[in-house]
Amino acid sequence: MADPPRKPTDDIELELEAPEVAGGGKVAGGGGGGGEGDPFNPFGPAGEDEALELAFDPRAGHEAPKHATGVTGEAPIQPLATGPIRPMATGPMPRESAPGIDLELRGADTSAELELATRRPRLSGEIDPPSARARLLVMLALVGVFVLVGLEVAASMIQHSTPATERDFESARVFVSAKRKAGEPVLFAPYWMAPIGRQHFAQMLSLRLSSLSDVDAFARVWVVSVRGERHPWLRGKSPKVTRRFGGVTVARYDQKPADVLYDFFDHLGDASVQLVSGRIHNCGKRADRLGGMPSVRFDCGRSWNRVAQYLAEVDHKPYRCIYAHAVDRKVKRITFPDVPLGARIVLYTGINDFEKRKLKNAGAPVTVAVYAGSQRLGQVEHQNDWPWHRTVVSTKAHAGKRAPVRFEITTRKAFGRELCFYAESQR
Amino acid sequence: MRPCEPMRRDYLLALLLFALSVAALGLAQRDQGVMRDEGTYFRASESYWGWFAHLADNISDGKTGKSFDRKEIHRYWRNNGEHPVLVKTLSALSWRFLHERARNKRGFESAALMSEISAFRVPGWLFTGLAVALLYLFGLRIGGRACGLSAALLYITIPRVFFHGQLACFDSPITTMWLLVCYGYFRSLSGEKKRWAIYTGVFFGLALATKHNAWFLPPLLLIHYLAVVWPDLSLRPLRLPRVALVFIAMAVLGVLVFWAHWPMLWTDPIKHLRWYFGFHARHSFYNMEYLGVNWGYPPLPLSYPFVMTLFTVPTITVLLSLAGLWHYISATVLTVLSRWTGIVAPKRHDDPWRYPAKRSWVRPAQGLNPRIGLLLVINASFPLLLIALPWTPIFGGTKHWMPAYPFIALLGGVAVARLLERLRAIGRARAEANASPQSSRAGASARPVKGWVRVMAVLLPIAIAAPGAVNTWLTHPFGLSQYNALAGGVAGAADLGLNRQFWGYSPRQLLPWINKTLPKSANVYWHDVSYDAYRAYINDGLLRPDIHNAGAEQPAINASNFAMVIHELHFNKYDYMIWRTYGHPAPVKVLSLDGVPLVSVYDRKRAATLRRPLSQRDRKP
Repeated sequence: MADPPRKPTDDIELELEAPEVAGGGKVAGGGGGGGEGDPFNPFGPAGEDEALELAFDPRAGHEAPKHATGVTGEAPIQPLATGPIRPMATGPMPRESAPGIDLELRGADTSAELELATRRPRLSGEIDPPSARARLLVMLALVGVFVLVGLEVAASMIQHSTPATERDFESARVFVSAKRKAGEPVLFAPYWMAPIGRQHFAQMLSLRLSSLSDVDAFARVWVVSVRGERHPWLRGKSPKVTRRFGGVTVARYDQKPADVLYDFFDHLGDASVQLVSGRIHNCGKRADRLGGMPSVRFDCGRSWNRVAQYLAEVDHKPYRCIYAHAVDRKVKRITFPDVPLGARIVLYTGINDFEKRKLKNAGAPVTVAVYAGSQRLGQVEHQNDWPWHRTVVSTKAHAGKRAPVRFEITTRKAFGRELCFYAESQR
Repeated sequence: MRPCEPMRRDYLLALLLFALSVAALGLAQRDQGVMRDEGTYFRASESYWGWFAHLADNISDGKTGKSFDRKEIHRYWRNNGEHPVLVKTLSALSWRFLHERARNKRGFESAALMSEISAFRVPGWLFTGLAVALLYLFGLRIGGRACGLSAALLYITIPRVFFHGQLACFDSPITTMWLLVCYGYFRSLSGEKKRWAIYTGVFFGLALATKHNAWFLPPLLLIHYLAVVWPDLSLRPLRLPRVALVFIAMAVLGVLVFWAHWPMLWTDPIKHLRWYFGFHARHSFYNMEYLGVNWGYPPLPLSYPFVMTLFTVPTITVLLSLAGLWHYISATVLTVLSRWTGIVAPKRHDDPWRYPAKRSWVRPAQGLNPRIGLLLVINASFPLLLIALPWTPIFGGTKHWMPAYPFIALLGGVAVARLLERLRAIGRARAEANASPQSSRAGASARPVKGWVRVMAVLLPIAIAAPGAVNTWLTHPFGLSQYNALAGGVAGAADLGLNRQFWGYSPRQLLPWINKTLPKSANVYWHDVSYDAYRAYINDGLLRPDIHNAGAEQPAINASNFAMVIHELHFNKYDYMIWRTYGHPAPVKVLSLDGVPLVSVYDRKRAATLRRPLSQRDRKP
């Protein structure tokens, strides 16, 4: 609701005492409105604030119109109080308004009704003289506004001035490079700050160390973090060493490493790849390059239909993995001939983010089944919306033996099923 | 609150606000990168100017009709045909007269008044400045000077408003035009001056000529109008409400202006309109990170526009606008609640608006409550609700609901005016107490109290604008990475997983480093920097002309010797594409804001010195 029109209520009362005004006389004093305004116009020229305040001073009550008694025709109304009554509502009162009011008044039977009809209405926007409680609330609101402003400004400035500096990162780098042994991974937390971390810790990084699926195989792991963040892989673990360099924290986690017997990614060159659908199609092995370095690729058809060492983006993160796009009505079979087996095979699967997004609701799941020799050890049906997914396949029955291990990839609809997987045989 | 008719000093203050806003935007944009869309509009503006230049030639050759030939129109105006051309044409004019060296009849070449990028952007600053001035005048009419001043300052200090105000895009202009149409409609309701209905029709046409958002305005205003005339409707339910002149003007003049401004509609109106509406109805989806998830397909979570508003608009502005909203809805809400709870219903006031004034199509709401609160609430909420709808394509940027912000600012202004009014009431009560004979302090003047309130009336609007101004200052020129203190600033928003930026504009801040560091004829993969932006940087002397643009996607990365990634969640794949190509994950340069990476640059040569085989175990035995 907007502020109500101030003037019309006074005009009603004017009607009562000076009905001739309805004949088209000017009703307001001053003239700030230049005679163009309309007394019934809520948007009409209200003029200077001061004038309005005086004109609608609640103290005036319904005594106010008495000042206007005797107003006729063009005669100006005397101000309610001394002071500059400037552009109040001015202009002719509409003729149409008068009969309505007269009618209402003529129909008033009782003095109470007459009083109701003639009293000055209370305006919805009008302020009562404030009680002590109301005064307190207003002052609290005012102070509250200033406190909030102060807090927001201070918080913005603090947030702006506290990020880790180049110097902090450099100090952290010097510390880690002195203590770190070659091959130990350096992780960054939170992940969004990783580009800055990678810039400063470039010498300690490689594609391999920046695209791990986990850090189970490492005895010592370094985490460089800001804002007190912990790396999700190491949550729940306590760091052995922690050092702060301004806004940068370096932590070293020591752990009992998993004993990796066989990394399927590294041994892709030893594998054979086939497409099976009634008949068997052998995919040709080719030398390839990944990250400027030699790698291996098996071509099974068009460029998408291949098996290769790859760096995939799954859930917006990089993973070193074996690219193996699923194929319609065919089984893509990747066989590693001589794999040392321990207690388990740890398998990670993921579908390339771009394809995943593209087929948000329509992407078929991809099944990866793991065999040792002819025995099916387990499988995972990777859903479209899954992140990089870890599956542990038990190989206890084959522990200590060597056997050919086969991964079979199938799907019911291969479009956009750009699967990538990483697997290790662990003791 | 004390609504006022603007006086001369108010117009002067509005002019001052306009001038200061335009100056601030003009100065600030000098560091601003070129947005993807801007680059496209630059090209379109140049093309449109070509038509005008050709028209002048044709007129002098006595072949004026040739310029209105379908082929000729398509040749120049087909460029960026999915958007109406008002802003781009204005940009073309400012570009032509403020930048392009003009050879006059005497062969004299005048010097450019400003850079090419700046010249294209001038209309954007003017539109934004106009919104600030208009907000002051609108607020003045709703709740007095403090309301107007607060609304104007709250609006321009919303950091993302300030950011978009600098650009040669349509988001700030359509926000201004939306506000202008609502203002004209508001003025037309009472019929105080009949011409406002006509003006509003023209404003609406210009709004349509600015951006397609304006098509939503008539139904919104109609809803408001029906609410305003409801007292009449309820009395005479069988009589149709009178059709207001303002709607007739919008229907006739609006459409006429829209048609007249767009040459593409002169030759193939139906065909082009069908394509135009189809384009926007089937708009491609953008990727948008929200709370850690990349959203590429609708529906976005319902909360998206509201949470983004909460985290990007200064908190004080949001709170004040909620207080302003409460001012308008409190009586209704409390009355409804009182039916079921122990809440005491507010005292009912007589409705001073039910006045039997004569109403007509020219004065459709004469004597009726204009329901300004409803008008503000409808316009402050609709743009957000529209984006929240499940079937709305994913646009993402807060700019898409920016037309709500002037009304949010106005609601904030109402809250400030209301607070000041209460302070005045306290002052009056004190003055009365002091003046009463019983008072021991009889004769004490009310002047100090009044003076204090007057100081507050100036101080409060300035104070409440401070958080937004500070936040704008601290995050400039990375306005799309800005988040408020409630979100934890830029880094806090990164923790929350909120979109970091879009439009590929931030590498502008790397240009000095690129100019200084990159070898001669370096071939750079510019990622999301558009070719038009790259060209604009070279044209303005911001980028060495020997630096090449390698192109797009993987072939460009393969061909490049420097590669850039502009960090957005869905762009992470480009990081990994570069890793796969260059062989190392370490960038040579990272541009950041408050510790949050915005752009990474990779150097192929450096990567080659660092890389190690991917398939050999790097673990210590």
